[in-house]
Order: sequence, then structure tokens, then C-alpha cells
Amino acid sequence: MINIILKTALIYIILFLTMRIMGQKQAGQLQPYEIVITLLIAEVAATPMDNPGTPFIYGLVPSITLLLLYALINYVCLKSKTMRLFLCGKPSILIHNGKLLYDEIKKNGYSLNDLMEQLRMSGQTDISSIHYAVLETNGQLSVLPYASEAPLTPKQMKVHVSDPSFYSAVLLDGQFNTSGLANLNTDKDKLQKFIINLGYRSIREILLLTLSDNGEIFLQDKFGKTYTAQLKKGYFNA
Amino acid sequence: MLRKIFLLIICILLFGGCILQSQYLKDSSHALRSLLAQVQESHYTHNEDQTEKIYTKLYTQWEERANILISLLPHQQLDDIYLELAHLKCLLTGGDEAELSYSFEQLDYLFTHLTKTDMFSFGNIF
Repeated sequence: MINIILKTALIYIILFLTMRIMGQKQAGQLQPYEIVITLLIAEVAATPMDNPGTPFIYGLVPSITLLLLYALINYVCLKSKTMRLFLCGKPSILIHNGKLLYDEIKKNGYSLNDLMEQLRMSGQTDISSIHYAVLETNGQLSVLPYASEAPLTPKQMKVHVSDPSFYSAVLLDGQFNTSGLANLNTDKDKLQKFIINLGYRSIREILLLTLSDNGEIFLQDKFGKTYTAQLKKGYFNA
Repeated sequence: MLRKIFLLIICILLFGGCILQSQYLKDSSHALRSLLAQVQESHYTHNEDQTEKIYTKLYTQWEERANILISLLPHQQLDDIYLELAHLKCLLTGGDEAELSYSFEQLDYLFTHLTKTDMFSFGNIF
């Protein structure tokens, strides 16, 4: 039984690494060839787990081969438009100028129920207000309403808005978050002194502390108390 | 860049692994078949001590190689060889000649088959 446990753990690690190399796409964003490879990897990797009499390499080698195949197809798709069209297909316009293009809908095997569901998900249920609805190659529907139906942007309204601040968690569950500190070039000692000045005995009492590049601070301690403040920009800089 | 290097290393390892595996299987098959032929020859010349000695050598050689073969081949294939070797040992100490001859043939086939399972061929792919 120990062998099965070890094999399973190893296969999990290999699959995990394979998926990490494949990228961070979610299931709904996968292209057809990516879905096939993902399904196959899961299937072949499970072979040695299912059957204790099958050597580990019978799962490892096919997984690695599929990973290499994926990298190759990705590269080919990137370099050749023809191959990209062949392997990924091309987007289809399902709604144009507020009218359903039924032939295209049928060609894609898309039911009207699916279409309505996707439209509801995108918040556009009035077909007459849609300029374009495009079925993307990964199966997602992009809905572009008429300009008159689209929400106004601050630019169109000629309103000045400031860009959102970049927030980084510098303290997590009573401990410094190294990557967060590095993101904003924060000095640990200055931050620690600031926390003590707020009346805390140590940073261990802090649940979360986020800092923004504009000096905004949010703190919540482990007792549920919160604190927000606007400090000088670069206040904690090392 | 790092990803490309990693993929290239995997490619090389995979290709190198294929060559090494193929070589090891060929070596094993050749060495084991050669020892089996010696056992057979020795048995037919009625040299019992020599037969016993070569058989022991064959079995030791097989056990050594099986340690690696177990990670390359389906375990069922190795079990078949273990069983047939035990059967041969039994027949060598006093068994039916026809059955013994069949056992030699079967072991020879099983040793030859070590390379065939993973050989690059039309039949193995399709």
C-alpha cells in the first residue's frame, strides 16, 4: 500500500508541475487542443495509480510527452496563422446589429438556450441592444452592446479620476509577508515601530496589514479591530 | 526563457531515456538468452553439475536485472519469467524431456520478448 501512496503523491507532483508549466488558464478559457491534452494527462497519469503492477514510467512518460506536445502546438499556433485557425478555429459572430445569425448559431452547434444563458451572464438580455456577440474559440461569448447602450466611461464624461492604488499585504497572520514588503520597498523596523505606537505589543497581534503605493494603510488585528489611515507616500520606505 | 530551457532538458532526458532503456533491454535479452542457451547445451550434454552452475548464474543474472526491469516493464511480464525459471529448475532436476524442451522455448521467447514490448514497430504503435 505504501507504494500506491508514494506513486499517487509523485504523480500528483508531476501533474501539478505539468499544469504549472502549461499556464494559468481556467477550464473555461482552454482551447480545444488544450482541453484534449488536459483530459489525456489526467487519464494517462492515473494508469500506474490504478494498477500497482504498472511501472511509474507508464504514467510519467506519457504525461511528459503530452506536455512537450502542448508546448510544440502552442509554439506552432503562435507562429502560424493557418495552424492557429486549424487547431483553435475562428471566432463566430452569433449576433450582429441586434439580430441573431441563426445559420452561424446552428453551425456552431450552439442552442438558443445556451446563447440566452451566456447573454444573461454578460448582463445583456435585450438582443436588440447588442451590436456584436462573438463566440470566441475557447467557447466564451463576448457581448458588445451598441455605444448608446454601453455604460459611459469617465473619459467620455470628461471627468478626472485617479488611477487605483496598488495594495500589497505586508503582514499576514502576525508575520511579515516578504513578497509584499519587497513590492513596496517597505522597511520592517519602521513598520514594527508604527504598530507598537498604535498600542500593540507585537506584530503577532495583527491579522492583516495592507499598504498601498499611495500611502493608504488598512490594518485588522486578531481581536477584530480595524484601523485605516492615509499616510505620506513612501512613509515606510526603506 | 527558463521555461524553454526546462522543456529542452525534458526533451533531451526523454530522448536519452528512450535510448538507454532500449539499450538496457537489448543487453538484458541478449545476456539472458545466451545463458539460457548455455544451460540448454549443458543439459543435453548430460553435464548435471555444469547445468546447475549455469542455471544458478542465469537466475542470479535475472534477479539482478529484474531490479531495473521492474521499473521499465509491466510486472506481469516479469512474473511470467520468474515462474518459468522456477518451472525450468524443477524440470532440470528430473522432468519430462518434452516439457523441458517446451520450457526452454518459452523462456527463450520471454527473454526475446523483453525488447519487443517496447520496440519501435507498426504493430506496437497501432
